[in-house]
Amino acid sequence: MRKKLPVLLLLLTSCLISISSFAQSVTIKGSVKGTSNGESLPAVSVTVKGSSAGVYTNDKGEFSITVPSLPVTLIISSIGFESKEVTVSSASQAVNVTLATASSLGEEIVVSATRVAIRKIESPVTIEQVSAANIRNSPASTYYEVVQNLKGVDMLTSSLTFKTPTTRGFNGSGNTRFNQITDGMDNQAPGLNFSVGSIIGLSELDVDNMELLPGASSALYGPGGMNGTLLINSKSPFKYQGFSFQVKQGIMHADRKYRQEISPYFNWNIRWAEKIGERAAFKITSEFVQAKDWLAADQRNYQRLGTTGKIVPGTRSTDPNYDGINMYGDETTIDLRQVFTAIGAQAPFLVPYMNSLSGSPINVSRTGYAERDLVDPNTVNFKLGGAFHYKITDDIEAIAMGYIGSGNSVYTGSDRYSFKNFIIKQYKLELNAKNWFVRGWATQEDAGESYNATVTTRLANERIKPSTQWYGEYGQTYLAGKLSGLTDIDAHNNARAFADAGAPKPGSTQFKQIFDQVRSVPISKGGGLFIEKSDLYVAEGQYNFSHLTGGVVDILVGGDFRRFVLDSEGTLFADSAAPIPINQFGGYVQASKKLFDDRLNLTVSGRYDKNENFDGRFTPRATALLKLNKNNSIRLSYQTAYRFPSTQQQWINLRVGGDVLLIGGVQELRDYYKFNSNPIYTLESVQANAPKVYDYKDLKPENVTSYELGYKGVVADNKLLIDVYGYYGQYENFLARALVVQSKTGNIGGLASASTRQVYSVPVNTEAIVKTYGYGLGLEYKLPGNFVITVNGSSDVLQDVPAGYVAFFNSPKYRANVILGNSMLGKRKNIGFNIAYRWQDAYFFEGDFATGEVPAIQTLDAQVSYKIPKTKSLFKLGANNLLNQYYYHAPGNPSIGGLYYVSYSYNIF
Amino acid sequence: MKLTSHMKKIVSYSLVALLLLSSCNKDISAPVPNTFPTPTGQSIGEIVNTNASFSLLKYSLNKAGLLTALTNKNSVFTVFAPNDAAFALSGFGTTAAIDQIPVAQLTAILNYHLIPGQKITSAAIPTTFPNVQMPTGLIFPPPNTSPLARFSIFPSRRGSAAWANNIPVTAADIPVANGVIHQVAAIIAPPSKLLLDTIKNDPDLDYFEAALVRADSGLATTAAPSFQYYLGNPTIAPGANFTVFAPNNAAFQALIYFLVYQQVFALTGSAATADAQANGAVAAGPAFLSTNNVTTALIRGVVAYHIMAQRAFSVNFSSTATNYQTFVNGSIAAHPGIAISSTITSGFGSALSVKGVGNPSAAAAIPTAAGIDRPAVNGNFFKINQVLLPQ
Repeated sequence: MRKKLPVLLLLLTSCLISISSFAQSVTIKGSVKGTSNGESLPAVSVTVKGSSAGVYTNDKGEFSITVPSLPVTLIISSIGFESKEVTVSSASQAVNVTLATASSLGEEIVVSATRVAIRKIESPVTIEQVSAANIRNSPASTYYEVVQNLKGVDMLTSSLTFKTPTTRGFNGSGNTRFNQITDGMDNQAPGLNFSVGSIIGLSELDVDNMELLPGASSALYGPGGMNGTLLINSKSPFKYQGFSFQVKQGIMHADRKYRQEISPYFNWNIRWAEKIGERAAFKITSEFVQAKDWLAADQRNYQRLGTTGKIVPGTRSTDPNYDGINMYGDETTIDLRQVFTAIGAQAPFLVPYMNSLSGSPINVSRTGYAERDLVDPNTVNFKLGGAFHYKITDDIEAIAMGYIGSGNSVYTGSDRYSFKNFIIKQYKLELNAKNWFVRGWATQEDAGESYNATVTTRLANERIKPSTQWYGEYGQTYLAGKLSGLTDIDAHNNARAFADAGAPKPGSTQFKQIFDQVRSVPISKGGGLFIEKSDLYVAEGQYNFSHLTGGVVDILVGGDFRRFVLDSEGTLFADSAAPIPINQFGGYVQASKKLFDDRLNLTVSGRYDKNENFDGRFTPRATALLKLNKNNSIRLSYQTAYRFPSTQQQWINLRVGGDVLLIGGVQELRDYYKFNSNPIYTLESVQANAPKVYDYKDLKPENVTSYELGYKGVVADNKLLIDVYGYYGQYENFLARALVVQSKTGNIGGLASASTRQVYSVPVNTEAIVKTYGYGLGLEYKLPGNFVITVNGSSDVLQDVPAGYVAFFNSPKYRANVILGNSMLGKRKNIGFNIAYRWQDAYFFEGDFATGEVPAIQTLDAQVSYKIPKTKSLFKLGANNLLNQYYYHAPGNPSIGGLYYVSYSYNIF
Repeated sequence: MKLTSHMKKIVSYSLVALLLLSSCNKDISAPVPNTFPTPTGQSIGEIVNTNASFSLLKYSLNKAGLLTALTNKNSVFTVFAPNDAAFALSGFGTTAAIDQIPVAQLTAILNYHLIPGQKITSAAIPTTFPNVQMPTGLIFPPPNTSPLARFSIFPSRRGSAAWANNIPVTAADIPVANGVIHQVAAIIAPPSKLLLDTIKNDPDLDYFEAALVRADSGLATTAAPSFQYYLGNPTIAPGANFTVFAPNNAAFQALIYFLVYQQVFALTGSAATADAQANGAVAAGPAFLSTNNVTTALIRGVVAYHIMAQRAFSVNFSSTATNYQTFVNGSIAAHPGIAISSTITSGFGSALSVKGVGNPSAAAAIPTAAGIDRPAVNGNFFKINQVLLPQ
């Protein structure tokens, strides 16, 4: 792709140069206002009937359109308003139009369901949509949180700026089963494997709409969308023009429960878009967020068992092997009997005494530090984006676009990671026509000074006092304590106090110096810094043949090529020698046919993908939409999805806690560790003293097959929108990890002792077929007086999970939302409010970092707003988690409290 | 207007409903401390306090300030508890007698009866030799500065009989909340001297002392493998365990007389000359062993034959003669060692016989008022009436 990008660029520029100027004919000028309060309406579409020419009103509600001759009929339309047709016969007078607000339930246009623009009500699969107006009216502090109010959505909050939405289960902050696509670009970080949508990508004011496809969606969007796909689309600079900004100032930690001070929250947004002449337009967007982050302060004791574990009773002073969830450094643990062996060599007279203490392991962990003392509380997120659009013809638009996101954030993966001064960039070149598009885009990540909090603290502990010394002192003091008649726990605590004596206090300059030193050394060189400079290059295109074949059947064809270039300098992947490239390509075709007077719409699509490390994969999809009438439809779909093992599941080569080697599944790594000549055994069999050679099969993509039935319709005098669905799915070849053991000595005897064996965590496909089903119901009711109430509830269940198998399903069985709002209250209809109540059931969360019960969560968000149309101003007073009732989405993740803000927005309508 | 007020009602009702619903999120719960339930039943301290037969022990522990620690049910101790009869047997049958002991010394003695932090029931005590070595509450004096350097006690068991060092246990495994009590028949006196010091201080062992010195000639006495280092170095003492069979002066004199007489008689054929020369050799005293009359190698071999590399008390030996290895086995692995048998009366070792390969008859241990065992810091020793001959 490095070679291909310039070629594409060249192609694009040649197109631009070849543009001939069009003869100027007649220019019609005019403006559009709303009837309700007389405010001027921006971004209203003004098109010439019978032609593809069209413009949008600017931020003052004015438009100017050039037509070849008069008279013409202009179609004036905007979402939420009744369309109007105006015949213009003279260019001398301005065309002033007023549009009446329309009850538009179910009228929204969606694209992502079929990759073709259709009415939402006619979507053959379940689809949810968030419009710019929804974002504007929502009390949520960022647009990503608005997604939470859609039915069937779970959110995982790793930190203030790191939120990961998911549908239909498998929630987690590194969710590789849910695609997020911004302006056609997948925003999964190529090396880190998580979606970075909430920290890079669109600024809030630039979001035109978000479309959510819950469920399997690989057939059109490629591998990855096992559970759903979120598509976020930005505002065209042609449509939304002018300068707008928004200043949100808030407070967090109002009760000082987790931070010492009430801390400010800043969220500033600007967007500037202008048309340059008739054919060119640009936009610049930026967002800045700064706050003291939510704090993960789960002090509960965690008992690790390989890569899983459980929460157990115990505190630092009552469990010598205490390992607090959000305490780091205390993962280092040994059996004190090892120390006794060393003491016994020096003092043989104590051996019998120590032996009689050693009935069971005396596990002792080192003293940890709390997250609050380690991770920078300042979360900063800076986004900068820009795009240049050029209409080569009325139908062909060229777009050059770039996003950059940087800052500090905290992420929960296998450990807690502090992202410090990360930079993620995305660039895109696109040619977009009525029937086709081609685009090339790239994602480049640079983890900056990011580090693994667990590893770094453990290493800092080693720097403060090497474990050999620490445990030696501990063991001696413990024995001395026992010999002086102390109770066992007192002897332990005494020993800890002695071994820790002189260690720098958390938060001290001395500690910070040591910590900063360790975190600046790459993991591969014995530090905590991870280097991550992986890239992803993609070229894709699509052609809609419907205009040629539409008489018989609508046909859509597309394809893409992806090239990952993994570059972690040996800190994450097995790439110390050179960056690792991975190529992957895919293509799809979709045919749809309308039958019985358009009452039945059948669509069949299929997609084939091939990754150089895996066999090719075909995913079919078939949908049927039965239109009962214009506003009621029944949808039925059969969908499949799959995903290739992530880049980490392919190439990771990382030593993690407990001295386990986390490796990828490619043949090269298996060869490197000589699994062929020096066999690996299952850990359970080794622990049971009956080593069994592990049958390590080739890694396959995992896949899901899902059936869905749904109904969507507007009833009760166009006042009630009902959307209901039920699905059933089956997962196969789940990608998970297994622990295996290899002898370091080359013979089976080496397996017996920890020092002569190596434990690997290898990616595997589990053999079990796991079933999932769920349903959801959404109601949107337009009450009199512009009140709208939305109620939805949904359920997701995973079934037939074999005993002892960790599925990471991580989804509450039930969840529900109630949203009540009105954006046109008061005499001048300029007062708005919105209250959103969310409830989700308790659920059991399984994660690499921590596993445990998550209690039920209820939150209440609310906002009131006041609009001054004259100055295009909007004041808003809002609260997320109004009652400041702390909750957490998963053990080890932060407790989220109330965020209260006031905002002033200019020209955001 | 009507509509609006209706709406207002809806809004306010739903607000109230939401507030009510929304008020019960569970934030992360605090970690639950592990609890250490206090064991039920009487503690060691309580038993000592209430059982009348422990009145002198109670008196002593109180005086030493140790009773409180033994009453804490959360700590663990194994206590070898002398009852009043035991105190009496050891000559401290009254509080007045106890008062004669300086408190520091009393505390040391009592501490020697405790194994802190461990509950050693009789089942945990091995029935075979060598004895299990357990640290006591009594800390080693300087130059050992480590708090881990403790005077050790050596519990042992043969069948249903048990001992702490050489003192019989009269009632084992008295259950208590915080450990276990083994009642003993006498006070277990903590040793105070190293083997070498004891040997040096006893004029009746001058010959043996001279033999040790001669055996070490040419060796540094501050390092292995010198005998004086093994038996007399305070630094290694906490981990040193020896059993020494020390022949008294008479035994050496008898041997010297015999050997010289035999040699001279063989050369001269004159009994009178032999007798005179043998008497002269005896009259030379221990210095005889320092001269070229005997070789260093011979002395070294003889001394090595009198030392076992383990700590044994008379009660640990079999009642029938059984062979035990000595230092000689360090150089001649197949050497049969010395044959030892002991006699136990009322639990105490009352007689011990030990026979070398080259001896026509067995030697006997010479008792003191406290019995035949002579416990030292780094071992136990017996004074015997013959020199043991390895061949």
